[in-house]
Amino acid sequence: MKRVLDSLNEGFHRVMKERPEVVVIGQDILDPYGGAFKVTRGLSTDYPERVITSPISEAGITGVGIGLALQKFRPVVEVMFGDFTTLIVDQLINHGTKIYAMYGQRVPLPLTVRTPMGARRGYGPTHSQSLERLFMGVPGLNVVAVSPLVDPGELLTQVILSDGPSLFVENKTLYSHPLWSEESSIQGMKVTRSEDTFPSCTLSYGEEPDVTLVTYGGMTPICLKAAARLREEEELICDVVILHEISPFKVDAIGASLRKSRRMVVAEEGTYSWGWGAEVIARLSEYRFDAPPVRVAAREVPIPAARSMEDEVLPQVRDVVAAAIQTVDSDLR
Amino acid sequence: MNEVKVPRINANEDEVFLSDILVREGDRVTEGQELFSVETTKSTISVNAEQDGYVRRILVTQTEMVDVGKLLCILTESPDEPLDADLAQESAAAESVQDAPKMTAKQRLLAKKKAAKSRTAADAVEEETWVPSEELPWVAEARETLSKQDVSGACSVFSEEDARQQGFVVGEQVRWGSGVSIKARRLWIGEGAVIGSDTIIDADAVYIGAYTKIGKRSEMITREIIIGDGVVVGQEVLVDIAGGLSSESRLLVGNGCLIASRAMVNTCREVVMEPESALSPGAMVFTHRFWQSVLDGYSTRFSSVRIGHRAWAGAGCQILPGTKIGIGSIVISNSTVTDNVPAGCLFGGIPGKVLRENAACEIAPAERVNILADQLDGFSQLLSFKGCATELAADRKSLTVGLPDGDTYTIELLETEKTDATFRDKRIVLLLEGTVEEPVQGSVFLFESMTFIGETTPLSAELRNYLRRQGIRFHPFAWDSSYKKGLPDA
Repeated sequence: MKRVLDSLNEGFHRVMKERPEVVVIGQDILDPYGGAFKVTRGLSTDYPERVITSPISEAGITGVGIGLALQKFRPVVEVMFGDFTTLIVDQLINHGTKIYAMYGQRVPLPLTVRTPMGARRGYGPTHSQSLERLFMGVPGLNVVAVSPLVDPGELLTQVILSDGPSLFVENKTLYSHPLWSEESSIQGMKVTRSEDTFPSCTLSYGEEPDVTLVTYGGMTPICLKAAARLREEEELICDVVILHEISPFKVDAIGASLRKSRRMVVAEEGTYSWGWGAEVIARLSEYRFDAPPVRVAAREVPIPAARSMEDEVLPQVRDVVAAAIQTVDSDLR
Repeated sequence: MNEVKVPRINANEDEVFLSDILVREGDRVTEGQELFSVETTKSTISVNAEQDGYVRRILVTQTEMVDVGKLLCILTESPDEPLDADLAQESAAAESVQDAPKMTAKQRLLAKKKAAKSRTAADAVEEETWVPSEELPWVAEARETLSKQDVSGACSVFSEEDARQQGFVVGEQVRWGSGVSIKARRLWIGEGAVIGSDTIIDADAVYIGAYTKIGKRSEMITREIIIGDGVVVGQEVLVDIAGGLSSESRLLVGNGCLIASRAMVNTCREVVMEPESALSPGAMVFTHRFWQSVLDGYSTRFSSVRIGHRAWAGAGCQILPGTKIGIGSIVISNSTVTDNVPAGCLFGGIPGKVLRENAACEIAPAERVNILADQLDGFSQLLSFKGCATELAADRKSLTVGLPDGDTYTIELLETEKTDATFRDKRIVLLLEGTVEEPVQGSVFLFESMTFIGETTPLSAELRNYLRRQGIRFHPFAWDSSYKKGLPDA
């Protein structure tokens, strides 16, 4: 059974083979270690000149990446833990997304920054966050998140081959998650994928949905478990909409389900206020809601290192279930 | 604290069946939310929460027969305010019986949606309770009038003298066109009615109201025809009994209606047009539908049609058997009405559906004056075309008209009556509120009752016609009975 990690690694190998301009920069990525989470395993053996190990200098390697991109390479810069993306903000935002406009002609800048976000491993407050929210809404920056529903290796390839700077968000707990293919029946739900390069997926029981659950990335399996529990315990039928391109994003798939259900829950692993959910609700505000939409997210405290306390802070299946029931029991007048 | 009791649904039943318990203790409910369903032998109704609150006690545990007035549940505004001691005891007793079944979120959702639907359905029913035709006052009156005639065998008459000789009632100044033949057992024609040449009417009972006009070459064959006052029936209008003559074959048309030229009204079953409703040219009303054999699984329909007060079906519409067109609605031309048309809406398409929920805008009472002032303005321009000298006041509520023959008239738009001196010769008053007793000097248009009193002059006839073309009709006219009395062309 192929896992997300395997797909990422295989995709990486494929694109390195097919595109000689792809180079990889990161800390501890050389074989035999092959990277902290092993996504880059085997690359330095097969392509020794194109895999560059670096000291601890996130801002530095991002700047180097920008320079390489301007020189027609396709650099993939790894930030070992998503929490450390704070160190690259100036390079990525003030330089990476604006340089293309400085030359009197539009200059492609195909830089990919990839990083694992997410908690649930007891890694503590500075190794568990979901900080992709800090990069959303930056003009010119694409943020793409992995889920088991779309081949992650393919997704990574498409991001690497795109022309502008991108943040590719992986998730630590998803690395070992099995892939869900087009044909797999996921707890009896049917999958519909949109036609986009970074598709949105809608999972449905084939009946009129009572509530639409919207999420991305690491919260995907949690929302699916919640949908199953809601169906079994409360007889509620939920559609689950998973986006992969999360900033900017398209509302079409969400809207199509919302038109039928008129009730929505948006779930994310990041913290509650000013998160992705807030933007989704704002964008969907033109649609008819029968109840106020509800966000599920992490509590606004540093993520504890103790696993039991970490569980309290992070959004769980029970929180998504409660949110769905809340939309059913409340009304918009 | 709010006590919810079993309601009395009708005078006869003291016990009703509690068919649904839709809430449990502890639930938060909102105003109008359905709490219980109760059934009589004839109907099911909801018992709804009168205000937002919390269900504190439910005193019933299963669906069963319950007495009218029995306490069903207690709601309080807040979830923890204290309840009366005796009620607490009563509910404790009820609680000792088995627990109410646990409701899933889906059940609560469905209950909510059902309550919302029954609310809107109830609203709809409230708006449109259709009075059976025999109970419509104008139908009853017409039948009363007709019943006074001696019922002998049906006979055909070809002129008003002919008709009177047979004992039929034909009013003053009725214009009976050449070649018109009417065959009936009872016939009553009101004063001033006009029947266009070569028209054929053949029915058991015929009532034609005062100042009603029926156009040339029309053919009306059915069992009973009642047409009110001031109605326009155009040329070549067809009223038939295709689909078969039945005991329900009748055409009942209220005052001030319009059935425009070449309209077709099939009266296999009853067709009722409530007062001031209209069928545009070429509209078709069907009360029967059949062609393919029922033995092959096809269906047929034989059913009456009702067009509500002030509703309007556009040119070329098809109105299918069994449909009702709601009060004040508009069906756009060439539509097919397959289903009831809600009141007040704009409806259209093939098959038809609601295009807009409100065909008309809301007009604040203050606006009406401005609208009429606009009319006066427009009228003054028509008068210039007719060779009159006009002078419109700055506030547009007063118009002085110098007629070609030298007379001067004034037209005043008044919101309420001023004094007796308001009404005088050569003055036309448009009075928005209030009424005036006859005899009165000059001419008065009373907007409260939509009637005209006083002197009919060429100018007042012209104004009456002008307003009619804005849908402002003064009884009894839906048509220009006085166009020949209006101002001559310049």
